[in-house]
Amino acid sequence: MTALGDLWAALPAAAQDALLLAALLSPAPVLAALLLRGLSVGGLTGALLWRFRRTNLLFAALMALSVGLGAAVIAQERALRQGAARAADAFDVIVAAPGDRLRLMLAAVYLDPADAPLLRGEALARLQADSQIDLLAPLAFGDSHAGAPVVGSTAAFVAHLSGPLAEGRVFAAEDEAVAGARAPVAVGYSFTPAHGHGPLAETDAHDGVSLRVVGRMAPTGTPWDKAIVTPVEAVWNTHGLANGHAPGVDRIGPPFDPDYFPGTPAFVIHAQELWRAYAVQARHDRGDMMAFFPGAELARLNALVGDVRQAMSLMATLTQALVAAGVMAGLAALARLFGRRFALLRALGAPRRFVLAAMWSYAVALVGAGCLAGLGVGWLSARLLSALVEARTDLALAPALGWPELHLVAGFFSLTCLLALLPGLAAYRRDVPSDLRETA
Amino acid sequence: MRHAAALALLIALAAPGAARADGGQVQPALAEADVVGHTHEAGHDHDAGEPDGDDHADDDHVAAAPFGLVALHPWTRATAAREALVFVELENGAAGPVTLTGARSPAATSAGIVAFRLVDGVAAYAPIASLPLDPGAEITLAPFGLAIRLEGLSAPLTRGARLPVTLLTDAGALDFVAEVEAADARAHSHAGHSHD
Repeated sequence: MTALGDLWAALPAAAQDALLLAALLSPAPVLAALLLRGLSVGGLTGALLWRFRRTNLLFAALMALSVGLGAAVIAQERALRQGAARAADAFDVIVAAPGDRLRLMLAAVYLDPADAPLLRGEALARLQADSQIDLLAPLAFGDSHAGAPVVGSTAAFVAHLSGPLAEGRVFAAEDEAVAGARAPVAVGYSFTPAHGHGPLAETDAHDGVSLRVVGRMAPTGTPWDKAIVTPVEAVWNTHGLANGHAPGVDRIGPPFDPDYFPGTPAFVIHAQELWRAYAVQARHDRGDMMAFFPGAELARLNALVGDVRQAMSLMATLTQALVAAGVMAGLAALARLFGRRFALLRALGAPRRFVLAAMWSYAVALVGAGCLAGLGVGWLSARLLSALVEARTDLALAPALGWPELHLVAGFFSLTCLLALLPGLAAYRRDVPSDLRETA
Repeated sequence: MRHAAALALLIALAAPGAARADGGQVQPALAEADVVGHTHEAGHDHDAGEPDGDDHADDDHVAAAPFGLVALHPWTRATAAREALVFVELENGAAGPVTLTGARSPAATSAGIVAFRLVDGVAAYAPIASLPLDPGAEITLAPFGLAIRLEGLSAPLTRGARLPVTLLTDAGALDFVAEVEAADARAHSHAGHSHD
């Protein structure tokens, strides 16, 4: 048993999934071999499919819808989870004043506006002195323009987030800005940021300030695609604060001078190696500031809502089971209608098993068509759902039917193959003489 | 009548399928071969008459190495799988930095330090070769963070059993005994107690 378990554990995940799929599908060929042995029911099954084509189409469509929607919901949930996690990829460690990590993560990674206390020069000095940090960038949020968040940071952060720019260049002066891939501003456009977000933003708070867009980032598939990034000095300047550098220093970007550092709600930190990220996080997660991994916060959140996910797959399975039961009930009723014809066949010498096999093949053909069409419906619905979610969240989603959905559909197919014996048995058990008498 | 029977069959068949979908593991209660026997509860009386002064000096919640590294509340989860994650709070009481370099356990064929990360949206623990601890630093190995991963466990871990683990550092080794908590535990059952 242990040896088998080890063998299973040693298999690559894809092989495990493929084997599970094969196991889930296996009842159908076994049943087919048992029922159809030595019989040729193709002609009769085909005739049944054609004779009741409208009802058959309706049954297959019902199953396709239930299978498809179940698969789509599961695929969509996974796509959303992965899309949300990918958005956090660029944010190894976030450092902020002690408070609500989740709130800060939503603000930094997903640009959900939040008021957060500021980290001051002392924190900056400690972080700038840490040789294990490869990228240290302040994130100063709070302003917006035409619905797009305006965030102050550094040129290195823009490069880290986007890689090579899609257009133009990164900002090199305090009055320049870089637009996200889908921000509502063009390169060359000048604007005055509004203080705050949404309808309550004060558009005249920063009068006299003008920022010019000099570049556009490549798409990142994150809410940052809608943002406008400016030098953090521009944000401080806009708010009438010191600009992070001693008077007379005429440059932008790090290192900043702790004595002239007005504060930032968060820093994002990147370290080339994983162990360094953990060392940095452990070093700076202390009483007066918190350092955390957004990825870990997301995973913890996912683990907490895991139960909801399980309930969802159970409900999808049960819904499909109910539809299958309804369809089988319909087929049993159809079998009654065929009763007299089957009786005639039997009177002409067809074995009992022939009737069972023909009814079963007919039902399985409907179920199979329903499942295949269901995969198509699932794929389409997942795309549609994703498009809706993408429009609302700015996350890039990659919906695809994966192994869990294939397993779900395969399990459903095998279950209904078993159930398909019921209408067959209904036809099988009928009393030939009485059926024939009714015909006469 | 036949339809009702069909429905009942379906629901009965669907239930195990749903359980499989959630990845739930059945935990058979097997013997604890290499794992130290269950003695924890017997020697544990710190709730009796000393509500504030938890004294763990004579149990396994604290382990200290002569070179200054202290391990607090080591724990792991009950599992029938061949691998397990061990979590522990570490304090570097040494005058200089101490670098964690690995781990070993008589109950496992191999062990090492791993760190949690999301890879393309999927949770995973990746091995890390070393982890420096500054003097005076405290670091908590915990779920969704750092952990000691044991691979090739020789026997299932049952709740209440104790698992010997050795943490390797550049300054020497630190032995401690991890408490096996419930399969779905999120922290050591005594976490938060004072050990001063």
